[in-house]
Amino acid sequence: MNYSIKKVLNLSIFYVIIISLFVYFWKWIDPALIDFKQQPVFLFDFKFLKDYLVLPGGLAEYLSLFISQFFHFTIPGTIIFILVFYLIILLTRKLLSIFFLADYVFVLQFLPVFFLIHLHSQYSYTLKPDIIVIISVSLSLVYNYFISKRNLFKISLFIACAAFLVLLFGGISLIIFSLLVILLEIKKKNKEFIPVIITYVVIVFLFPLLVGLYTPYMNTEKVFFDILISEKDYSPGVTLYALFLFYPVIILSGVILFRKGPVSSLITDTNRGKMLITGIIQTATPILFLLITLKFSYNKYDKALIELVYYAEKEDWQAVLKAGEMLPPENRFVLFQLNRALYHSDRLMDDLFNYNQLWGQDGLILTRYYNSKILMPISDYYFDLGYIKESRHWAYEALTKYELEPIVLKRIALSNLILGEYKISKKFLTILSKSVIHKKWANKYLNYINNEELIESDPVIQEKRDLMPKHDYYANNNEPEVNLVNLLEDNPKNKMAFEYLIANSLLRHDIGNVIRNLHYLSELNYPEIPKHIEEAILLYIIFQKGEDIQLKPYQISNMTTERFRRYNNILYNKHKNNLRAARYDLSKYFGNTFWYYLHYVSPITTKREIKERSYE
Amino acid sequence: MIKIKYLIAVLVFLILIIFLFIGFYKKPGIGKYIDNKRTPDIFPDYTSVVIPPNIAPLNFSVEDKGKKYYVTIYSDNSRGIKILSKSGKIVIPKRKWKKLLDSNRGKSVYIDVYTKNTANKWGKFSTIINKIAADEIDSYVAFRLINPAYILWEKMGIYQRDIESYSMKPVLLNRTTEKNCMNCHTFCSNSPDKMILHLRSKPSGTILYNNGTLQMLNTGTQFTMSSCVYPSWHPHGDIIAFSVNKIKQKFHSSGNKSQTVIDRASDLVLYDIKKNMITTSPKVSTGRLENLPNWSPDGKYLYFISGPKYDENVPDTLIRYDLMRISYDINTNEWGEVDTVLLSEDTGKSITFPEVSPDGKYLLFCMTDYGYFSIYSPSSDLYLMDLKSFEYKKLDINSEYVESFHSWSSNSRWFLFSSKRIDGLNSRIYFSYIDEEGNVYKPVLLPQRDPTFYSTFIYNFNRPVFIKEKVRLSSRELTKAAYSTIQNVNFDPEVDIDALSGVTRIKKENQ
Repeated sequence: MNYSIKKVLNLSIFYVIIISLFVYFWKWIDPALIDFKQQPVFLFDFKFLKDYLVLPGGLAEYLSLFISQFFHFTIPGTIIFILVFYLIILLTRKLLSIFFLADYVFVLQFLPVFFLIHLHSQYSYTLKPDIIVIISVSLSLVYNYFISKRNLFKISLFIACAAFLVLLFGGISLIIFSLLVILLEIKKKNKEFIPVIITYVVIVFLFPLLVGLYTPYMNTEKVFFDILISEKDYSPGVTLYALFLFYPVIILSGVILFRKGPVSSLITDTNRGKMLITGIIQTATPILFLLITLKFSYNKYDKALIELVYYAEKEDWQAVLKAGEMLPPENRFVLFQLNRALYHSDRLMDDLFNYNQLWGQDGLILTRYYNSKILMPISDYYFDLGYIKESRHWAYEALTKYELEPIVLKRIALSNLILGEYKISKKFLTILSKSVIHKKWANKYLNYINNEELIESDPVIQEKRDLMPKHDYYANNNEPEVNLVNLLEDNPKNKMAFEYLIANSLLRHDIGNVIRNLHYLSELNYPEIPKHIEEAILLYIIFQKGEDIQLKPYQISNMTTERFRRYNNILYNKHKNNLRAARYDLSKYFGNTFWYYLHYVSPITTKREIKERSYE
Repeated sequence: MIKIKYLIAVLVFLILIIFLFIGFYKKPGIGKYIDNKRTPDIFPDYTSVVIPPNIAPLNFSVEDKGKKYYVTIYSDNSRGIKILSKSGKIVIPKRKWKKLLDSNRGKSVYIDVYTKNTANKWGKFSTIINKIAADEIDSYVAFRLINPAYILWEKMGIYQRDIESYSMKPVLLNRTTEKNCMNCHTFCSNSPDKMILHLRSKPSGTILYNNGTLQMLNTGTQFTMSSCVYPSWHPHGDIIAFSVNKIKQKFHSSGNKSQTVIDRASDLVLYDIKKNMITTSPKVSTGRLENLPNWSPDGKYLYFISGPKYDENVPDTLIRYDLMRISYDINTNEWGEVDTVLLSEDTGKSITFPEVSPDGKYLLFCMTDYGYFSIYSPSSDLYLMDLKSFEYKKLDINSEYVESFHSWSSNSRWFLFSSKRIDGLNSRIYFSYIDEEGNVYKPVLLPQRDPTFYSTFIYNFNRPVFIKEKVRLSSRELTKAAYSTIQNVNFDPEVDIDALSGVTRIKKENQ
């Protein structure tokens, strides 16, 4: 293939890939969702920097936070990703060019980026792996610049780089750097390169070991392997290993493959036909790898799960419902958000059973079984209810797991503001005001401190203050209906407390409790009895023959009565009370009713157990 | 040759510039000023305090608005320290501060604060007069740093802070022990040579450091309701008193209290280090709630609190603890009779955290509306009892917020306590001087290099205790101990456990 055509083609492929990545991150991944999932906060504060510098590898984390704070905005976040990837491609190209022909390099230069795409598509990886790759490869290139110098100089340079890497970027960066340097030395085959290599191997073991012995901040294993160590809620994937092993393994295999043989001869062969074939392979391979990477990296369910919470945070309940409908109801947390969205869309009492409530009351209220993943959702639930002290309590618990996450800090600041704890609120607002991204939000509320006029004019604060409990009682997370009853007694206008009490009762099969609380319908100015309450009343009438229920000024709608008659007709007349046989027919027309839930969906009926990890 | 001359010329010129700068540099000084006729608003509040002579500089911020700030710190025997600031943060040079304190022990130190207003006029506030105590304070404080949560944890550690500087270093971080919980770090007579520390959640146990030996103990036995909890070292160093507890937490919906911690059962036990054995007595392990043991400095008495037997039908607000003591002979393992020191019935409040001063003269304790876990109770205040007359008084140094856990300095002239008085959320460490007559002076907040440190620091300084010197054990040694072979503690076969209620493990149906 003609050299200039090849060059143009390569350049075109390069930019096609870059543009594709831009579109992928912009439209499919959306860095704002990565930001939301990870909740990084970066504070312009010396203490914040110091807290990272004391940790071996802390600077990598610090830089990652600094850069990724801008993921808060989709387009700048996408641009950042592209710039990082671009830099990695350039560095990889430069390094591999030392070992490989340009044709090989063209294909291989993209691979680290493809690994990173896979990682970042999972939403939970920070920029730390990217930074580790950048610094390790950069320093190895610096070393290569001096590779012809005397051994003493090179060893001194290596020691300086080793100390720099292990203290600031972590043991993994040192390991990658060292492997690359060793391979460079092997390739160069300078005088006495073997004792030099042995020295380097000793340093690679010694430095992290010494740091691990003397630092109180982590054990030796973590100093060495840092990001590759599994922890409670973190497990490094295969892709991460592949990323870090890429350079040494590829270079080593290249060194072996480059001996004369069929592969190298394919490249060096000047036969036109063979050149065309290699040209096509060379062009197609990166595109093929890109397509495979994108196909296997993008997970619409992962994205939908984050969007569910993201839109809930923004109170875009229609978007929550849309995201939730894509997700399996087996995820209790998904049901929780869907139910929340239903309430806020005024649909909970009519459409609760439109969704597969297979977790029963535990898909409505999460508190009976909690773990670190649902601490803030529990805080959200209580905040919605106006039970601000308890909302604040769960935000404090979340603070232990997600320290400095803006979403947690904001909840603590706002709930303390509502409770009149201005000094505490000011503390958390002051922290947030040191973040470029959250400064505006923080400053808005800092103006509120000790300014009752501003506070009283804020509709959210006023609404929550009106809903707050007036009497002191203990929060009951094992029997959440107790909290709801107490809230309603304190404030009969607390609509959410009422609807959640009813929904909770329905989901627990406690129809009696639904009946006992019917009087709130008129107190809350319902124009008519909501559908699911009608369904419960009809059942109650059947079971409690003769008992008079006061429904005035309301009455059961004809539509619900007719539906109940048809339900019973199918179940009892057509299928002779055979629940199994009746299921298909009933699900077709009545799958969204309380009756169907009772018979087929309820975990009390199905004996479904919660198996997720829970704190006792 | 020309090059060298040129270089020399440049060098000389630079030196001249430097000398000129030094010579013409106008040392901070104030000409005319207006008298503001009040004391300045500074944070922390280091006004009218008694200062330990060996404490790090008490850096502070001037809260009054100004374009510039000028502060002089001086005493009768020393030239003043002069500080000029644009931000209001007053950072005192360490060496000059040390020199000033050293040469003025027992005397006063004066602070003059000036602010320059927008009209470029200086204003002077009334002079702040503090006193430098003659008696030093123990050089270190050990504490746990934890988030202000109630149930969960992630990051925590035991730290030690050098009071004479700002150095705060970790003793043990839970990063190295699988993020478990660590607590109840306690030292024998303020010495780092004897220390215990509980670890909860794997690796779980009690680390005991005893004169060079590190051990990991399992203090739970089949005859005790829990592993050992709240500790107190016998002054002889061979016995540690503990409580054993069944603890429950409850959260409030409104009001100024966030949480109540109650015990469904608690008793006292003694752990004999040499025999590796836990023992108790029917007198301190009853159906009542015995808790928070504290040895007298002569080792003859064990003070503790005692509350009514738990009844779930009785409101928590009625659970009040009395202050008791019992004599104990360490040589014969003989217990005396339980003495009532102070009844909650008489005080109307619940007594908690008794702590006898090292000279045996005073007993510092807290009283709160109910319960014993006073760190969440704004009503908790500090009280001081004279152990000769058994008269007690509420200390004037209390605030409207929580004053709780406290510790005596080894010379009995200082004590520290936890207080949430800054914002009501985070506990901070305060030092108060107490003279021979039992007069207690306004407390000093643990100083920080950055005076605005506390405005954004979200961790609690939990369970602070004095230590005379720093803990020399490395984190690595403690981590290694945590993972070493655990030694099970034995239960004293001489104890008639059938006669005791509470010590026998509570069965699940009773919970």
